[in-house]
Amino acid sequence: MKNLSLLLILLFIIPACQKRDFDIVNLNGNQITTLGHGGMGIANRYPLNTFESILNSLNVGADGTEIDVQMTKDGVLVAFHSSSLEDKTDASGAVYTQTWDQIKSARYNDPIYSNYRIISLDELFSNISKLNDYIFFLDCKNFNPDTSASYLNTFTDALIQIIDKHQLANNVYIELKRRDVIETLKDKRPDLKIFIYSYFDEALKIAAEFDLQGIAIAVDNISREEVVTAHEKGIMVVVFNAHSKSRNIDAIEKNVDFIQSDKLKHLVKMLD
Amino acid sequence: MRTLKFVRQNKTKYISILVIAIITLLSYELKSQTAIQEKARNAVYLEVGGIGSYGSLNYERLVLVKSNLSLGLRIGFSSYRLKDFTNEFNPDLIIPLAISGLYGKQHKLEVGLGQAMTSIVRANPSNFEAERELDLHANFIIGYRYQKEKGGLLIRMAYTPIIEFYKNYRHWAGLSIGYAF
Repeated sequence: MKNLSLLLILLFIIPACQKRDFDIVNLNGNQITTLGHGGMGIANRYPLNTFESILNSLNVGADGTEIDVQMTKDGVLVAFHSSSLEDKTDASGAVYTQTWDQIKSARYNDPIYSNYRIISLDELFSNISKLNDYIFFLDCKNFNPDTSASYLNTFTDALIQIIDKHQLANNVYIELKRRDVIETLKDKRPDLKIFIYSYFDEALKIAAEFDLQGIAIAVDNISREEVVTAHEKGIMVVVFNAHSKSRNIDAIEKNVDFIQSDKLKHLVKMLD
Repeated sequence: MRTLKFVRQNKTKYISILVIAIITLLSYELKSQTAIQEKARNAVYLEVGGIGSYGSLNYERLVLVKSNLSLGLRIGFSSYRLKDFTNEFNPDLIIPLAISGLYGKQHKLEVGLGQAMTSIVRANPSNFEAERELDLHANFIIGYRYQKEKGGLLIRMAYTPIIEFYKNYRHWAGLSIGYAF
């Protein structure tokens, strides 16, 4: 009886840990690039987008990571996800209403007893060794409602400056949601790889209109057939919201080009 | 805010009082061992939440037992991770310490205060190398405990506010289950 129980437990556990073979066909050399979501993902003890989380994602074997990008009032690009600082830190207000000096000492509220800080993109890229070995998706959170040419120029110039300073043009993919930002950036630097973040039909339309590299979409908002449709048009697909192991596998089976995962170690293991 | 300011200004005083209280109670306990032999004086319990952050394993020793009143010293252990962000073995350490007064026979009121010592690995803000940061945090405990005098099952639930870094007040609570012997 004891042996039977052990056998049943093993039969249950082994398939969950097994590496599987996938027949991948996509526009990324028939390989899927493994990316962390803000580093190690939302459920990790390291807060999203902290230096610790991002470095950890690279050190566990991911090809790169997605990073949420916002710009401070004085034009510094920082890695931060939420629209307001008080959601996650002991500071308050939106990033775009604060200067870098005002928020650089802000402390993340979780986990308890920890002292993780907000990081600027320049600090981040300056302190990653072998930076050019990795892929970075810069998910630009343009929460600032300003649509003036001044804002658009300042934001896109800051983005271009950081990419050029760290020689990342070949390693960086830029995720944008706003048409005005896409238009401005595309005008300035048509060589940069831009992904549009929207629902499938809308994303496909905008990608075709601006000749973008790809679309960014939640894994549960795109089917395998829709991935094929995008690929047939020469448009790559990056998926996010891969919060679980089953969603990782779902994303792989859809033959997408890039996966931003919150279960990164599992994804890396599956595609190793 | 006034309370917070008071605690901040009195961090050293708070720690000194805690240390003196622990030493005094330990001395008293050595003298009174024979009188309380029939009562369960040790307990081990797991706490979800509480002063050990999200969960901790704890040992408690009752150092003073007088009819309905007892005083216990507690030490625990918790960690967030064993490997740091460079993927090297370098665990985060959280050591909750507390002194608690218990009132009641089987159903007890617990009131206490404590200190969490933490050693968390993070990136040094200047050179971004993995660095261990040592900190102290104040804790308070008020709650209910089920524990028979002769030992056995122990259940406790408590409001356990934390003053992180002696600076930020955080509402917090804990639920424990363990064994007294």
